[in-house]
Amino acid sequence: MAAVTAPAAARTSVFNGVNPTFVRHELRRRFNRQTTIFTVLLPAVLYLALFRTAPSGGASLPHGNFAAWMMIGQAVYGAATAAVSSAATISVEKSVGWMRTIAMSPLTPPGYLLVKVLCSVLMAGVPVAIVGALGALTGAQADANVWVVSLLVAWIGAAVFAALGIGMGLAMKPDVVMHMPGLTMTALAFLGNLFIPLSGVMLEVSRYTPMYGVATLARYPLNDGFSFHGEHSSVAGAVFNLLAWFAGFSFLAIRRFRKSTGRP
Amino acid sequence: MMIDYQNRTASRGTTSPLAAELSSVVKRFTNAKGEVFTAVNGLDLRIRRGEVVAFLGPNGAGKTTSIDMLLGLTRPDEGEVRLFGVSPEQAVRAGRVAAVLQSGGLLPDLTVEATVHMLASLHPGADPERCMARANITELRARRVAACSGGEQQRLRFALALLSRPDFLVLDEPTAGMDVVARRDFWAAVREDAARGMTVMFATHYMEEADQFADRVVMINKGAVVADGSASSIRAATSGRTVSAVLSPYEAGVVSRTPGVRSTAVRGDRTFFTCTDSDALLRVLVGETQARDIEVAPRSLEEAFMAITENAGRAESAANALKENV
Repeated sequence: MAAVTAPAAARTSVFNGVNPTFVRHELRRRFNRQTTIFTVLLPAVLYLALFRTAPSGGASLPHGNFAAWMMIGQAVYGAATAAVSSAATISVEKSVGWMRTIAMSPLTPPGYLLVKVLCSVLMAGVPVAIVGALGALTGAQADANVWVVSLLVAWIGAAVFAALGIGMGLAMKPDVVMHMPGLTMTALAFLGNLFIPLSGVMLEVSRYTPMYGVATLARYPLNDGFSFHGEHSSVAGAVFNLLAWFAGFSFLAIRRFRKSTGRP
Repeated sequence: MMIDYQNRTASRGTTSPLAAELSSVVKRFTNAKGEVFTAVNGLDLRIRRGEVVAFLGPNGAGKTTSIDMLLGLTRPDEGEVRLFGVSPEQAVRAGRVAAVLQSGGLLPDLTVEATVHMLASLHPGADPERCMARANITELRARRVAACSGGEQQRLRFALALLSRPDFLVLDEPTAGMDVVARRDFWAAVREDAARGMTVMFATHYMEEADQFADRVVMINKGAVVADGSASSIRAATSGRTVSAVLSPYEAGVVSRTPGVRSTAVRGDRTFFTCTDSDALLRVLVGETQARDIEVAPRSLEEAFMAITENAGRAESAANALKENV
């Protein structure tokens, strides 16, 4: 019996209880029709619709072609949408009192958040892989390092939106949260220079929006930071944007989380 | 698989003879208007290992708030809660304490099986199939939680509570929504665990449940213990009938001296007699007075509470006397 029952003192990790079975069930809950449409289908369809829409006057990129530019944009969009899809499940969990059930289990609050972030990151890999494969099939061309670095940044950058998903899920009611994340992400993607090449005032506005940082960093190996109109975006500015939004979303998520469980 | 509670207790390394200890616990809530409401008001309660305790009280007596504090889901404003000598959070995370809560806590989109397996994965060494069998939900495994009846969801919560093989099981109105058969099976399962040494505390509205399953009954009202004793001593306090009739004050005075009448109260034009022998009292009322509209009713739990709490001083000492008997 002693072999099966771990003494209380042995459970010291704050991530106690995080295990593959729990994560697998969590992922299965996340992959419903709604999230599949927004995270897998929409980025793929948008890529196919837009990869030939290079700006008139010729799109010259130092390390690849316009299809690669669009592919990276859709990968960032898909990954972000997948990451934020935790909002729907968290909102339901909060409204039905699942948090109380979890509070009565060995899974600690940090462990609960880790599961959410882990599932978001795993889900974010799916649209990146699909859009990447579509790009390869439809003639996206870029240097080898662009393929690796850009898609990797698109995937890992989804962490910013994993935090946003947790905050939204805790802040909103389930019936509202059904559509909000998908619509918000699509709007942010337009603003963040992901779908249509922005320039001038729009690009200036874009610099302050949450997807700009990830998008600029992901495309940096492809365009060295230059827009099609020659405007330059620095790595430092993009990193600052990414970190600032990540900090902001994490703060919102953690504050909401503390309120929701009544724990300090 | 037999569960050896003695061994488990030893391996979990606690020596406290008490399963639960609530000392002068106070919990206040503030509503939207800023009014402060005291839900639990200086509750003192000690539960020994192996006891089966019924927790009785009218609605709003503070049962659920007390249970929330016992489980560490709510922090008391004053006082202290200890489970097996440690904090409720520690005891709950270690799987020593589990609960079947009144409502909620289940994900509607999961199947019964997925719910059990998902939560089982959090408890080292849990046996989900055995817990489902114990709670009699094995045939429901493929059903979505949203499609389960209230009683079926309650059985699912019971299965989840068994996952950690707890030493102390807390049940908040566990049989609400269950039919007679499910209720009987449920209590048979709980009794089996209690026989092996598990401590059980359950909140209930049903005096019969307290009577049949508890070694000890704790009654609370307005957030404090008003009676605490063996089931039989509480039954004595709640037994008897109430006879009421419309009759003149003079006649009421005469009737109240009939042997077996415990108390008399006037509400509106009716006089209420609490008595141990209603037959004798009825003969007096019909044969010797002009009493009209006579009614006989079994004494409800609420009336028993009122009887116990009305004579605050006497009840206090009675409660203390009962406590010493436990």
